[in-house]
Amino acid sequence: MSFDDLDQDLMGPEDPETIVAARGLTVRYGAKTLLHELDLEVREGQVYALLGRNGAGKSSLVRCVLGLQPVSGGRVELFGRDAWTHRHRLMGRIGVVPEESDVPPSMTGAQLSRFSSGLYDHWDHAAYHSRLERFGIDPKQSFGKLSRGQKAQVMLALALAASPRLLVLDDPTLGLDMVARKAVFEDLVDELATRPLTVLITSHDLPGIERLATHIAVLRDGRLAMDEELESVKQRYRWLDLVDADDVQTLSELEPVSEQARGRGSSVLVQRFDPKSFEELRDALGAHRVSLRVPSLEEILLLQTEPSPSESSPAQATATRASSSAGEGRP
Amino acid sequence: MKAWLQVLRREWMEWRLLVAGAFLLGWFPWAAPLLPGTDHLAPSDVRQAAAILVLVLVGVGAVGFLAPALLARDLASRRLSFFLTRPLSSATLWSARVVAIGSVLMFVLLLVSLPTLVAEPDVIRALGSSADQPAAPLSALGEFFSLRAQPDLPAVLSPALRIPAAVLTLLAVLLLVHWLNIVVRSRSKWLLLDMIGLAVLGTVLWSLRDQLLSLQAFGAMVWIERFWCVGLPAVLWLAGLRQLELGRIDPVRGHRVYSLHAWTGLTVLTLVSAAYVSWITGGTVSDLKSLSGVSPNPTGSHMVVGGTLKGRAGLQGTFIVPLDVDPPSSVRSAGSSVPALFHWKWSGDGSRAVWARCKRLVPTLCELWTQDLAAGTEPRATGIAVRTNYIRLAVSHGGQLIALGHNSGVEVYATATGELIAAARTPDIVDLSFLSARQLRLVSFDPDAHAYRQVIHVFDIDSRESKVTGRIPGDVFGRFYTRSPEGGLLLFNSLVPRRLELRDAVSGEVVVDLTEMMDLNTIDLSSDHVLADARFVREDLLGVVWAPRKRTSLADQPTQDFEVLLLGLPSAVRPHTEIVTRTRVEQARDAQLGAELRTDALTVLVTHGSPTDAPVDPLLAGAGLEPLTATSTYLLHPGREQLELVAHGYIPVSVHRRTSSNHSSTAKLYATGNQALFTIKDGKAQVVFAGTERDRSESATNDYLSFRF
Repeated sequence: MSFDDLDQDLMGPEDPETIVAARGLTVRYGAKTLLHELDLEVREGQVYALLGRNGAGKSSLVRCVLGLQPVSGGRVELFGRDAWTHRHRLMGRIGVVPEESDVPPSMTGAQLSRFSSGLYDHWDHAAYHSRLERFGIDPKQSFGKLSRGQKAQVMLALALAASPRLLVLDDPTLGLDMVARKAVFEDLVDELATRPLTVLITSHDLPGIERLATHIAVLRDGRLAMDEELESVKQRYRWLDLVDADDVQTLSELEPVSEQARGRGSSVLVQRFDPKSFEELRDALGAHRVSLRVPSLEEILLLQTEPSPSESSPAQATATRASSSAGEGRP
Repeated sequence: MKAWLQVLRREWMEWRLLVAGAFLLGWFPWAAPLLPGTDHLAPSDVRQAAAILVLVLVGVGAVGFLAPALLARDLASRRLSFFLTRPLSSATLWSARVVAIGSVLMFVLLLVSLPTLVAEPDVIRALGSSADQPAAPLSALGEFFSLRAQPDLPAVLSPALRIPAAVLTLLAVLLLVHWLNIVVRSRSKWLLLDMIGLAVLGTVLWSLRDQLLSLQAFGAMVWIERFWCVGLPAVLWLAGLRQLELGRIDPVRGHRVYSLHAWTGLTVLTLVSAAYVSWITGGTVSDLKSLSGVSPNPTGSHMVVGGTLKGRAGLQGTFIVPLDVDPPSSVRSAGSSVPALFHWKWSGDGSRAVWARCKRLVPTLCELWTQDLAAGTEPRATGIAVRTNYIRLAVSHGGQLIALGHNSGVEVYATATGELIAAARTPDIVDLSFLSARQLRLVSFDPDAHAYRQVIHVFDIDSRESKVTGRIPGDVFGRFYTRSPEGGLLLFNSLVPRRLELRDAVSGEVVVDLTEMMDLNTIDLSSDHVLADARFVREDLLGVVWAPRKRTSLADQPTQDFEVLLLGLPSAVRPHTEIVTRTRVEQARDAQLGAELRTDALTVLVTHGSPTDAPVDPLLAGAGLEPLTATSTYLLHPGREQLELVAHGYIPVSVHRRTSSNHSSTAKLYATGNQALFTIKDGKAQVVFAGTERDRSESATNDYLSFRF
């Protein structure tokens, strides 16, 4: 049975556009629950960025998606099939770049290609070697002797040469220098520009993610604190810089989530920015007392990934002064 | 299949340098004689020693190095995910890795020993195999690992089976070391399960081994070993597969899965083994398919029978059978399983049996057991340990004392308590018997004299003093032959000079010199055959078989004419030795006397014709024994001139006359055909136990059933 046939076989009948689906996913380590009845969907063509702090459970989720780890509860499906049960058949259509490179160190780039060509139906030998050439990597060099950045590049080349329908990238730029990070993300952007590909990526590199992602999800306290299209996120959040405006109750319609003192005034981050409401506010306060600023993705996500007041120390809680409504539940 | 081959190729590429290194290391023994300090040694010896050292070191090192490569190393370095995120099934990955790494290991062992084998084929013999086989190193390893590890087990694997055995054994070792690696690297609480499993199953298996060894059930041990040789790697392989399927990249979960599956499988193997051992050891007297020995006690109330048990891997069973149970068929289930007939004694009054039951033969570790037949109790251990294979055993008339003679002396024990009562240092005891309840007669080699002169002592149990009462002159070939049933006479046989004498059992003086009487001096000494054989039938009746002259048949098979005699010995009613019965056996290959004791007729085994083409039992061949072929069993009765044919084949026969209070005369005939045991009571034959219908009918046609006293 070829992978084309498998495509037909593996796609669930309910929603052919759902590539990854987690339903009530729970992952426990002993008494500690890392992922708590989590629901998640990655649809065809999405570049789904899964973000969160270290230890939030991103890698555990990725391992469950790849069928490397059994779930404690719920279900994870790839192409409509259980990821744990059908692992080896599903892997024919998935390219994986793990958090830490796991290639046997004695294998050279060329050997990796030969080995992989016997495993995949659609192994693109030429694309693999041209990518290595582009990265300036000698295919005869043992994997163990490559630099960290080169290892990531080889892993990416391996993942893409398998002609996957789903690319799973688990913090692919972890530990890479700026240049290597840029090279990896540029290569990904190029690849996505040339062919449709569904991507599930976890990363701490927010500028890179901002260039790549179409969808953002944030893991916090074992649940998804955010799961939204990136464009929608960008449109919803704004900084409002206020001068001599003590009473910010008038901002409630815009749902402020964070406030920072700035000289004679303050900056308030709102998560329901609406131009009409803003106009009304400006008219009420006076145009010289309020101005608008677009927040960076990092600023937005920082709010989502901050620990809840119960987890954080009093000092942290004071410093961030996050509003009680910020970041709770799905937008 | 393509994916499987890819993994196989990758693993071979991974370890190719190890294989090359093994080939280079294999040449080291050639250079070993050049090492300093080896000048005074023969180069060949140095090469052989170096080759064995290199083979053992490389073997152990390669197993230790390669076994973690199955999974444990990848788990520890978190690289297993590389393979599990490819379209590779767990079965493909695991089986390809096991085959690849197992074959690398075998090639390493082959290559490291190849250069030496070319020059020193004897090396492989040193490991316990023969070099004249293909793939001799594997063959030797198969034998070494699977059989030599068990010193009590004879090497019985055929050459064709040795290579698969070696492969499976190496695989099992590889997988066991893999298990150990998983245990060490996971450091999980499941180690407790492993320790409990090892302790429980180890104890059970050791107990099964002891049971089989105590019955000398070597055939069954070989079958169990073959079963484990296949079962163990199969169980470990399956456990590894389940580890990969369910444990995947988690070492702790992998350890749990592996251990649970492995112990489940091993428990099944152990239970099957236990059931098989139970079946093997559970044979009763009714399961005998052929008899190798039969000996009634002096009163005729019980009998010990030994023979091969049906369907039990050639196990030789020995049973005590009570004969006075009526109806006789009820005896079938009453037989007590005891070990082989060797080291077996009845007390003089027939009330007690004593025998040695061995837990181990190399080195010997046996214990004396006893059964009080008069009280009808179950067999029990006496607590008397026997640590040498060469023992002489005697039981006092009433069975209260047991005397044990061995290389360094004699010891007397109380049967009831196993307590040592007396001991004496009398080296090289040849024979011992109770003269009375408190006196023992010993025959030993004379430590102060040359060669083989034998000394007769009388040992007083109460004073613990030994007194020399006589001497028997001996030479290199001289030997004490047998003692008369009541112990008054010793039959002494010497080849150079040729003598056959009856001597007084206490003084050692010649009572009757049979040499001149039978013209034994005419025997051709160039023959390497034993040309004369003698057995006491009764205290005053001696059976002798001998070949007066040598003849050769036209078929180029050496045949002789034999003469069988019953000699009446001096007694109250007979002043001189005289020939009671004489008969001839013409042109036979061999004629021997049956070894049964307490018979009233002489059993004669005659072999005619040539050996058959029947396949030779490797166990017998290994021990240098030939099966009895074309042999017939006859009886010679006092006063009859003709040998009476009992049956074709070797048939142990014991005939015993007994008088009871209820019947003026009752004769018992223990005619033990291949499958049947009969008694004749008041002139009527009754089957005590029988084998298959076919064998019973064959036995029933033998005309010896009509025999009457």
